Amino acid sequence: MDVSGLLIARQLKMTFGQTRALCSVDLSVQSNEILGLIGGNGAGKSTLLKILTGIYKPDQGEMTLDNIPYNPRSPYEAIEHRVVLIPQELRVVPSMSVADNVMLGRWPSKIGLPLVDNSASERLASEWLETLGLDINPKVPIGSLSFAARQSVVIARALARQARLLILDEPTAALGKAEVDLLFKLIERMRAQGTAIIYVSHRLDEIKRLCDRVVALRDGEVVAELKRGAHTYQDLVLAISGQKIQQMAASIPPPDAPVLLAADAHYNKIDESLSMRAGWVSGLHGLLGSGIENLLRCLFGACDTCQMDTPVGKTLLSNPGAAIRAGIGYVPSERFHAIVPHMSVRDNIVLPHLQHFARIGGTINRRALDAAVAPLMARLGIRPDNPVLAAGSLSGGNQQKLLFARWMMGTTHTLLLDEATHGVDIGAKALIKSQIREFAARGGAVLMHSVEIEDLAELVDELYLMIGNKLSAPQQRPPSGYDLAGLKGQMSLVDPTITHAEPAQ
Amino acid sequence: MKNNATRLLGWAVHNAPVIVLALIIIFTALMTDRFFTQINLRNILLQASIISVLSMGMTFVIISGGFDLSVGAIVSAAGCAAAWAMLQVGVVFGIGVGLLVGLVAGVINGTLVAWFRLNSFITTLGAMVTIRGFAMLFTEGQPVYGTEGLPASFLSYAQGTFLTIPLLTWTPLILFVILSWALHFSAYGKKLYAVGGNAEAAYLAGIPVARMRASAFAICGLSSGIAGVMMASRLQSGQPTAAHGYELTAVAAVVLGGATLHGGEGRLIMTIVGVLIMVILGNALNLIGVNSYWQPITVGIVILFAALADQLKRSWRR
Repeated sequence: MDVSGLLIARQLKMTFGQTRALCSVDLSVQSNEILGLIGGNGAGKSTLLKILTGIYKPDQGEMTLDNIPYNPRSPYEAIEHRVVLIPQELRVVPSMSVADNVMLGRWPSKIGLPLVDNSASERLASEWLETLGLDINPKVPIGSLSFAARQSVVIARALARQARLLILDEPTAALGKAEVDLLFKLIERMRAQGTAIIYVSHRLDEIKRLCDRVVALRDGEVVAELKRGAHTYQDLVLAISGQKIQQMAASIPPPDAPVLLAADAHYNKIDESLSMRAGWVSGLHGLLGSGIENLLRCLFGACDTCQMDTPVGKTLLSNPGAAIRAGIGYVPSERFHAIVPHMSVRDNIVLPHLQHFARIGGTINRRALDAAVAPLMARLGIRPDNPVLAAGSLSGGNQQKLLFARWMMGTTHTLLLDEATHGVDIGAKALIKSQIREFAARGGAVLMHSVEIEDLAELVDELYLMIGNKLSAPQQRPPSGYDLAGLKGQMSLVDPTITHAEPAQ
Repeated sequence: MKNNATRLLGWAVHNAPVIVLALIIIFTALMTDRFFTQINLRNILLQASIISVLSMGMTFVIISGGFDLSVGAIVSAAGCAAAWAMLQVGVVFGIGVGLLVGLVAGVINGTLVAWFRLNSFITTLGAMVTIRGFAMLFTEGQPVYGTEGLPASFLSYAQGTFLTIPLLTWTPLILFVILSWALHFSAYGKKLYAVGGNAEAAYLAGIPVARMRASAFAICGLSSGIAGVMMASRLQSGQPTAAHGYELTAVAAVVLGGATLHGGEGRLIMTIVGVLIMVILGNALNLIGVNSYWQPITVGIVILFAALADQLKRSWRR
């Protein structure tokens, strides 16, 4: 292991009760280096980040920063040492201006007076923004900016704090392709400024493209360390999963299968129509910000900004309850929208189907409930295998599996999936994908939306593209598979994000 | 070994209110021999009865993620309405009117919070002031007991006993059985916890969120109506100024029982334990002979400690 470096961590150990989160992890990162940190859900990435930023104190091990012992006892102390974390959910004050957010907590004061010098603050902020090549007006409230722009401002704040070590946790989870390119430029500029960067992501293609070095964690141990150019995508997959993931072989569904759900929506002032057939997996791809994900909410009866007639038989869906009774299930892109964290895994799984477990008089039949949940948990491999554990204590990937288990019971025949594999590790991803295919093979219909066309192309039988603000006719999978370049070409004809996302140089 | 210690600690955290209650009882019994006397225990039961009924209703609202400041006002208004109607028509009719006043007030609160999406704190603050005002207006600020007092059969409700337990105490016991079933054994209860724990998740699971929220306020209103009737019988009149500050006592009892104002958490049995902590603490200070001004201070500090312990539990769990 390298002994030089800005931050060096040696033999970090951390256990929670019975669970071993980290088992003697060594890590180092240099100035002017982008270190990629990868690993499955529960591999120990978040524990490691929390130790680096002073949220947890490790049971054992030592850290040095610039050859000086570094033992932050709080996130505040970490920032004092100029170690800055940018979490997935940005910490900004939406009502304050961009300048105030860049200079947050370190506003320049008028000489001798306890007053904030707003013009100096704006001047300094715009200097930092310019250093990063960002053309953002420092006077506007940050809440009025897009997510990508807010993220850029947060990076400018890290620069203003003269971060020696910048840690980014899944920064591209909510970004479109053009925005990712811009973010990478910002990160590379930070590197050029001498900052050490730790970049955490599930997206291995990004890791491969951006990082100078990659460290892979599995079960709390460093299992691989790979230099730029010395690894392939498959090496990374192998490193974090410990096994080769098999490619999905899509079967060909019958073309005359019955239509389970047909929708004519008046959405964004345009008429969209799509139909979902038994045994088919349909994909829906739109760029970030196209608002297409709202279409799924509409199909589920959970959207009041668009009008839609969704005839399922003769049912008109006015709320999620009606949709569920009609046999439709929905998995939203944000897990925390769908999980009740204090409730047990078991109750979370059965939540939409409670009435099926009520005896006469309304008492819940707990035995029937346990009997229904146990096989589902086993089938989806939900860990830990304990139905009475609070759902909020599960890792992200297991929460996602829980949401799938929810619709594998009862009479659900149509599944609406929004970013079904968003933010889960490669093992859980493969399992979820195989469950989707299995659901279709049993005669169910699936409509899945994703901003990542690669994910869809691998899995779906037909693909709807949201080009500009118009939904294309479905394109069936050619026998040789989809032509990714061709699909991307169709999308980029009218790409609303590319035109204004580039910074003024 | 470590496993056992962790499990014991988990059990203690889970049942902290019971432990606190047991400590208070043991401490008081050691300090004075007047605690375990029939008169004193009966006194405690009577005091706890009305607050228990209120607090159980409040538990539903707090689990749903809401808050109800109007319960004290509803108690006095329902008591006055029951007394008045009883003098006009009869005992059964009077009780019915009292319960109806509570239910209607609860439904109005629930409608404003659930469908008009008003903040429950402000809504029930407005309701509290309005209902108190109506009670004062219709009674002209005077107690309601007519010329010859309330009917004797109604007064016997507060005085009688069944199996040596006061009738007044049987009311929360019966209510506890019914509400426990609703909260812990029926689909309704699970839905209510889901709404309070994550309203969006409940909505996406097909649960009628607004109807659930409104129902919690309706149950709370009806409980307050029942408490109002109990109060009228105990005070032998309808008192427009009665039950002053009961709303805060009820909230405090629920919070002492381990529920949080974030919603989605709380257990009915622990609410009862919370009520007993408040009542027995006051009773103990009385028996030991502490200056009565110390009582609210002590109770207040206990509530603050409960909040602090809850916060510690949360950060420990993480």
